[in-house]
Amino acid sequence: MLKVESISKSFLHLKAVDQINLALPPGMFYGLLGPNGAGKTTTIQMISSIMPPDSGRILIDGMNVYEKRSKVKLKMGIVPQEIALYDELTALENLIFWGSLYGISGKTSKQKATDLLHWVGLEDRKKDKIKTYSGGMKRRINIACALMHDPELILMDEPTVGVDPQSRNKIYELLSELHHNKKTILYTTHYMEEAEKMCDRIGIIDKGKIIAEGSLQELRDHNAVEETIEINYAGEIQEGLSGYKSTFNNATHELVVAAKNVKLILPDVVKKCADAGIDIINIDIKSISLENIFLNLTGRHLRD
Amino acid sequence: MWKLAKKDLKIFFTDKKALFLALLLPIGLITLFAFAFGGVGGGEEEEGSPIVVLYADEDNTVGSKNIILGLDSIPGIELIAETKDNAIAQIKKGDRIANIIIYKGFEDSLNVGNNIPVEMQFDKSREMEVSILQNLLFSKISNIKGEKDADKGIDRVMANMFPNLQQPMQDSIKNNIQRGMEEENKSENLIIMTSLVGDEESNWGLIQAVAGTAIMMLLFSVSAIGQSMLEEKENGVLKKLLQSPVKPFSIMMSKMLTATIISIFQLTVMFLFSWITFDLDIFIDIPALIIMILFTAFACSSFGVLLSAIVTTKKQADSLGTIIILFMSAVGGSMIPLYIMPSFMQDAAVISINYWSIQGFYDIFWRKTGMESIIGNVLVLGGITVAVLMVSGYFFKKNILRLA
Repeated sequence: MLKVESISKSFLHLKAVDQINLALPPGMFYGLLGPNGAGKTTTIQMISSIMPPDSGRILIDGMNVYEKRSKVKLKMGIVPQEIALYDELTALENLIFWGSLYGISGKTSKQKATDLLHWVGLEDRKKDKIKTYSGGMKRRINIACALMHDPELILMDEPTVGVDPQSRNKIYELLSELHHNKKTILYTTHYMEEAEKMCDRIGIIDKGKIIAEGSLQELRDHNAVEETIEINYAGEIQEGLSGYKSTFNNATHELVVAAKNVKLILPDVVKKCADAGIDIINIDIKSISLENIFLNLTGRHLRD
Repeated sequence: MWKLAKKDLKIFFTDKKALFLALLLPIGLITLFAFAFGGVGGGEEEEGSPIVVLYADEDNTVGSKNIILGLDSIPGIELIAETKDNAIAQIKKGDRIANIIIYKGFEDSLNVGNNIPVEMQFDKSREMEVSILQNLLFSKISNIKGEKDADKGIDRVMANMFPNLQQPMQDSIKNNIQRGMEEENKSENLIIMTSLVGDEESNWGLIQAVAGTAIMMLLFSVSAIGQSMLEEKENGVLKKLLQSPVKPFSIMMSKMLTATIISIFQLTVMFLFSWITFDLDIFIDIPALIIMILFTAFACSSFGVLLSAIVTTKKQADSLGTIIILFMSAVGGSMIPLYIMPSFMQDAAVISINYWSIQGFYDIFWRKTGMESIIGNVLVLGGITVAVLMVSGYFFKKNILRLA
């Protein structure tokens, strides 16, 4: 559905995107995960046909985006980072307007808009002006507007930024439904939970480059990052657990055991603690997160 | 309290652009009004740009020549001989303000004390200048007439009636008689005043107020419409529009279309209001009025689009728009009737949309010269529209479409 071949983009001396490659078959939910300023929005803008890359090419259904712009635009639905709505128009009017730009008009348009408003849970407020909506509601309308022409490919640029947890969960539900309906989705975020929860495939982007890519499991497997068992104990201990990679801190009373798959060694770790006379208060298992992987790859946290 | 004020002052002086515009606007307006009302900046060249008055001396006698020479010698007034028909045509077109006709028999009438055959044909919309001219002409005629009357008449009457009257008493009576004669010979009695442009029902002041204000307010309205493009850029809507199948140029032209429709609506409502409230006869020439409204709407709308294209933020558009609109309105005759201004400012008026529109509406409502006379104005307004849109297109691409 979407193929991005070695695209690069520079602004003056800043290389915003550097040789990025992507391949999204139909129905894939692809997450582009990276901190602010990593190049996610620039990538989306290049794909959305409004910012030609300095080099490389972008194909949608085999058509070069910058050669078949008008045809390609009809296949894409774009949910921008900004709430790109007209405050003085109602939700229904906004949807009908954005649909009209894609040739959706008349009764079809009104029906489609009403269906989408129902889908995003805002049908009862369809005649209210957008300026009366909460941030989370506006985000949902923002998504609905991009779907008026039933696009095959949906580009979403951080669509949950600044949204309260409740609205965010609602948006996740909507996105899951789109995924279930076999829409191809390119989703940028700096929230690792979103990428972990929803994406079939994740590209970790930093300083304009994709530094790791794969499914969540592949990223975990192909990374040097390990899972951990964090044990809180009473009193003090003199040494770590023998036979395992472990560290301890008597000030915080925390013993950390690291392994690729901690579930397999958990019973043995508990037994060894008992044998060593360690008085266990609490055990916490930390699986490999994208945050850990990003930290491991870049030395920085995602939200730095 | 001082801390809060200090913070506000710091913010104010930090925004250099806002500071510049805050000073530029009043300085610009002070300068404009000083030129318009204060007679500032004329210099020698300005003094050499007199009011041109046409005349026809049909009497061609020493007396009539004295009148012409007397008027011509007044600084700021230049008399040009013209045939009656040409003079009428020029006044009706608004090119000249008055024509003085000294009919045959002028000097004879002076000598025998009959009514004096002098006529001033004028453009009523130039009331102030005409009034000055009328007084000057009256003064010149009454000087000559007064001399003759005083010399020949009063002394003789006094001698016959009061042969023994003492000199101081004679002088006092003579002065009273002369004042009475002057009263009687008031200019309206002495000179036939004929208005060639405008009739009793027309009110040039009303036309000036309606057309001038309507166009100035229209410019403010369309600049706000144009600014919506910058608002769309700032809130991300423009980017989304560009991502849709809409052509970039269509986005700019859609603003032009919106502004034009609103302009037509606004002008129509304003003229209807003037008709209902002030009895302005807007139905004199409907086709000409429609065409003037259309082309005024086009030109003003293109200005709104240009404004939004040449700046990069809404704040800049606000400030710059206000400056340009007030400048155009002041120079173009929306705020002050053009004839009050010095001639170099009247020449400068042609750079404004206001000028061409107001003059067009004058032609329709005041001069009543119809479609033919507004063709020039319409062509200029059309030309302004096309040129401004071309420049806007360039800046739209450069400023508005630049997303990064």
